[in-house]
Amino acid sequence: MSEAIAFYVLSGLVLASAWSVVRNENLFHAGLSLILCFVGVAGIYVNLDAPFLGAMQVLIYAGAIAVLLLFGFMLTHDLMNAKQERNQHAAGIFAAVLMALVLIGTIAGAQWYGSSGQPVKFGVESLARRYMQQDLVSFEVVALLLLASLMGAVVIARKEEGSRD
Amino acid sequence: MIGLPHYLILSALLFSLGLYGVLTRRNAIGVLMAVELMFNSVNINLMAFSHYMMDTAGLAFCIFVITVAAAEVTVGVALVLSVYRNRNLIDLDQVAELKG
Repeated sequence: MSEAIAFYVLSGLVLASAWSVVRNENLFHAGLSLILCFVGVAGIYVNLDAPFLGAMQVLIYAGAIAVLLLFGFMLTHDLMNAKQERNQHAAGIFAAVLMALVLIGTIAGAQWYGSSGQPVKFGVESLARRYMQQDLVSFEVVALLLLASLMGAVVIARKEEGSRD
Repeated sequence: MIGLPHYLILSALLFSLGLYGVLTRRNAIGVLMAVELMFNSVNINLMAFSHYMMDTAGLAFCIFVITVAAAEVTVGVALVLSVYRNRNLIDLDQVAELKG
């Protein structure tokens, strides 16, 4: 019962803040709503018995990605004059509503079977076993990807010699 | 009683909101924010299946998605800053040199 209450409260929070992210005229306020949305999704993970993933969500998404986006926004905008115009309004609504209808129709029409196995607690230990056994290659590839994107971001964003500023 | 379809419908709604944001925002940072919403909806989906199938595969994929999203945002913000510094614009409609 408490799981149901938590689910509905968190869903409302996530959807309302996501609406604010895509609709708010001030992009800085949209970024702050994005942080709220990420924290709500972390609550959904805790509700799904994955507290470790919830902690990672708060650390990486709310703590790093949202702040990085806000910094990117502040470096390219005048904060006091941050009104945003938008385009393709009708096409955007059409595509989003169509997508929602197709997905919800498919979900509602499908037959879902529950698993009969033992409930698992998604802790660090089960994750570590998986990463060090089945998914070892993917794990190493992701480490390489992080290194490459780190170096790529530095190369792309640095000032070049002889540029005009 | 909350079941798998509840989480899937939440994820579908969040994905549609993100799609709407990607299509209508003109600002590059705004588009990146909407893409993050779509990543989050996919993660909810993966974690819901992981929970109801009692398998850690979804959890492992979730962490992979979070990692790749972090890499994507790093490079994306660097690109936006680079375009802004060289051309002094942030509106995606104006960055169209490669258009055929």
